[in-house]
Amino acid sequence: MKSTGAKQVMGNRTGMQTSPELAEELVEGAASAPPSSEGGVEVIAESRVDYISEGFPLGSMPTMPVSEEADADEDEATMAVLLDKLSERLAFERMGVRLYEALLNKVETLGETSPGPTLEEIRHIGTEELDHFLMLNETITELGGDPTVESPSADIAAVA
Amino acid sequence: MSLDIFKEKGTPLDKQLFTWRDLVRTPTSKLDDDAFTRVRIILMNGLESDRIRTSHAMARMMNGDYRLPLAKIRRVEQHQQTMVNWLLPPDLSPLETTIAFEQVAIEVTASVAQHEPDDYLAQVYRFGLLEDFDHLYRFSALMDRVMGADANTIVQNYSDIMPGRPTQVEHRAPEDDLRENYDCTTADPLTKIHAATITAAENQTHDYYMTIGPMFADPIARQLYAEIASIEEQHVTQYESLMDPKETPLEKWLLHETMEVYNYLGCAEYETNPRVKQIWERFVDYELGHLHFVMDLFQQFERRDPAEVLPQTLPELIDYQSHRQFVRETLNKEVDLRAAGTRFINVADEADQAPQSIAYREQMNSEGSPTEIVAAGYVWTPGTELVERKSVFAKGAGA
Repeated sequence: MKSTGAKQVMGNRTGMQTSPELAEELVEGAASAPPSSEGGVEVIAESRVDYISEGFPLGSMPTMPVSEEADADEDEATMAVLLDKLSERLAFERMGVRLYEALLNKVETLGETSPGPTLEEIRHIGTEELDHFLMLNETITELGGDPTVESPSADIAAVA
Repeated sequence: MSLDIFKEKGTPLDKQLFTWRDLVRTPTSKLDDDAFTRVRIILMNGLESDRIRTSHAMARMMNGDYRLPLAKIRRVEQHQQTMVNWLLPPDLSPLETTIAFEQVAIEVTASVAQHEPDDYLAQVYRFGLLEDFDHLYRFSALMDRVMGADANTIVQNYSDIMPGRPTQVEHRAPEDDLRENYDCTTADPLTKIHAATITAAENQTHDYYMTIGPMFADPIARQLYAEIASIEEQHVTQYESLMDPKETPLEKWLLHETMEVYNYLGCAEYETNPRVKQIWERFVDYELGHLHFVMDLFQQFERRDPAEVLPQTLPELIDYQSHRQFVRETLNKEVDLRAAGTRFINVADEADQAPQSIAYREQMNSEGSPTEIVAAGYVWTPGTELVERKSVFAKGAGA
């Protein structure tokens, strides 16, 4: 089998210096070929305009469908925004509990290291995250919202 | 349905044109669109991908004369699949998409099982249904316990989230995964359409899990996908064995195109999103065009009349609605069924009649079953089980 010319390196192989000879060939090749189309990154922006203009939203709150947003009175609109943001925070705390559970699992298995949180600190934060989640769950219910809804802001925060 | 597939010629192949902009439309909304819009998108993506998969197999194994016609239709199917699958939105995560795939397997298979005219095949669909039903529960536990999210945001109350036939006992030896096939000379056209539909949907589910399984960081998530993907492979084995091997490849192609017309028509009938409905209607016409193209090939290459194998009009369509009561009744009556060869038996008889499946299962589960691990003590709760303080961080929990 033909050698790749790469240096025998241990560890990370993602950089140019992994194999300087191959890297030189790569640079030479890229520079020798002109692009097939003119312009720069602004061409991508121009192509997105059509989609942006269509303006379909990510989603809406149950009490405030997108089609009715323009006609809503101020109180309704304000409440929808508040519930959307509370739902986002609820999702953040809920996911946070699961993340801290996984972290606890890891630190319990590998042992505490320094720097890094202690087991006691992880338990403390995890417990608070669960308390925050439960408090927000109750608050949304008291405000007349549905805590099981995934609001647009909750969705964005979860995939960002 | 009153659509006469011999009379309606649809859009001719040379008029089935696309642009990249046409293919890539503004997607549906994860939050606002009805779950059944997503079910239909996933199903139709599965049917198109199946057509491409089987078309390639035909091109590799058949007389060279078929290659160009296969390639012509395949090019359009490729772009139909793209337009359909790209309707899924970017905020639908792989795990959320998985939940939706299982909802397809439950609700579409439930509809098929109820409409299937052949008793034995209906039993096969009910058997598979209870297994996919269990997968929804296991993936929902993963979503709750690892991601911290509620699977019901995807299934939108239409489908129950509770155990079915436990996945850990779904592992069977290949000898117990094959089924009796229908007889192509006597089978009802709907039987053929059902078998092609469910096989295609399950094959896509298998391929999807095999693609995304390694994308997860959590080792239990990776194990869970490995275990359930293995069952999806068994399901493809089961469902494809329902189809009569005496059907020629061209006959199967003809049936597949008919099945696609039937399913796009069903999608159009039920669709609530007007932008998506327009696509389903357009593709009914495209598939009619494909069907007539293949009818011509059938006459030319096999010297047979397509009317020998196709119905004049299409049968009753798939119901895109919750089948909760049917699924619960099936669960109550049939959760303890197992397979021995092509027959279904009670669990009590498995040791005698399907020892090979027990041996296989014991080997695979000998280091634990991920589907049991992820759902240990799990009961789906609105808003996740954290609402019930089921966490190591709950006061009084052993930590």
